[in-house]
Amino acid sequence: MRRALHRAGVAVRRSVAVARRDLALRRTYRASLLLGLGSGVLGLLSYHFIGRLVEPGAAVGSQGYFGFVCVGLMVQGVVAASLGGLGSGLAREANEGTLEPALLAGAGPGSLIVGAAVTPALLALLQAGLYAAAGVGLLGLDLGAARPAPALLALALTVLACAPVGLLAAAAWLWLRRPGAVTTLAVFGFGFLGGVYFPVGLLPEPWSQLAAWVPVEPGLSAIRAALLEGAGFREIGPALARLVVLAAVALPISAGVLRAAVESARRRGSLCHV
Amino acid sequence: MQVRAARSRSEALRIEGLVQRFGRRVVLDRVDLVVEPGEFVGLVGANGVGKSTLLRCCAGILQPSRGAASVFGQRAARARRRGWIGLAAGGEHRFDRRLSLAANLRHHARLAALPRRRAEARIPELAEAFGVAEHLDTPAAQCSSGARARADLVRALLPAPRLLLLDEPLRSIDAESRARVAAALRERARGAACVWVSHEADDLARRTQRVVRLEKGTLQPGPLP
Repeated sequence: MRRALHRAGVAVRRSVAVARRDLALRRTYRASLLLGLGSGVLGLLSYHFIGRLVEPGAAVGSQGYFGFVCVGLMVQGVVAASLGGLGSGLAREANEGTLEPALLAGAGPGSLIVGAAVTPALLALLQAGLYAAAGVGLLGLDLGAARPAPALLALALTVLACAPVGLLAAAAWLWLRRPGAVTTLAVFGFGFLGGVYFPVGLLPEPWSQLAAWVPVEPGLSAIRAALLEGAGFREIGPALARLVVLAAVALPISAGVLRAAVESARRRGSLCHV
Repeated sequence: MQVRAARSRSEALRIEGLVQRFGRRVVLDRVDLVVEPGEFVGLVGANGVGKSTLLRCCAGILQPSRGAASVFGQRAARARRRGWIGLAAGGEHRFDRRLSLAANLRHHARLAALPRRRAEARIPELAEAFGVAEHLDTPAAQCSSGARARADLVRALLPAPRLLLLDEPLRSIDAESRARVAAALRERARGAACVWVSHEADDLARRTQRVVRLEKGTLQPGPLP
């Protein structure tokens, strides 16, 4: 038990090392970083005006379409950034030529993959904060009743429940050398079926049934309830439980697929190839 | 059938019946080799004969099709995860190009779970020994390939590995500096076992205790005829 805890601690420190390195790299692209954050806020303006076309109601909640889509975009940004980091972590190291040295340092592919998701996720979280600030300060969004703790827990569980897609994208890179397709498809699917831009209730059968299996859907419902309606842990409990079940089922399966892909790449001699 | 290497902790490296196939192509065919602790072994062979492949099998990066490599009695992959193996391979495209060499080395030290103080002491010390101290604050992209090759050696030695694998480490280093770098290697890798791959058999014969050559996928004693 003690040894397992020690190993887990070392793995976490390695992931943190990757995140620190990635942050240092991002800081070498300061202008692009600031432009990326700023352009997202400008994009939000369009939704503010689209929101004027939609009447507030049961479908989009009491804050109208702008509040609905603003939270959707915040969550989608964090999920997409996390999946992108997970899916492209190994590919990025291999492209840079640092995968082999990292493995020789004792880091496992898992630590490298998880570490690669941390910096993009934190930056996306920062962008979500900017969306919220711009929404409240400039565009009339009311977050007075928001309860951040339940929202953050729901967000963490949403990312965890979506993470298997990132691990599958990493496995796809090891097999096909193309991680982008899986991640892009997933982010598009999550946006369409997860209720980012419109309520999933508008979807016809069988899309609405399919939406029930997309982890973004319960996650977004819970986060919207916590931020826009002031719902607490008790109210969003069922959605959180659904996310936990989805993560508990899908994470071990995707981790197993990734492990098989790593071993296959080791046998084929392509683990560190671009 | 998977042949398991005998797990002797007194041997730094044991390769036993190692076969490596890529598709139908047999690159390594029943390779056997034992390297004792502290021993420097040279490995020569023609281009594409499988020298680098053999090193990657020893490093636990590749999984042999048959046979096995063990390092101090542990399977190579396990020894790699424990940080017992260092590998330098010329270093030309093995760094984050926008980060300084020092930042790259610090990152490696963190991945290797080295205590911070130890890393902060060892990086300048090794960089000095390998003549790369003046480039530590330079982004890797702006360093010469020779400086990156030296930094690659610093990185391989940073966690004080028990087995050092060198894949043409002096390839990009100018002729005048090679003796100094080779001497620093001998000094800093003292106690560790080393397998040193090169095309230059004469050079290897001077720098290692014995030389084996890889030919048609198998190891032969002595340098190239």
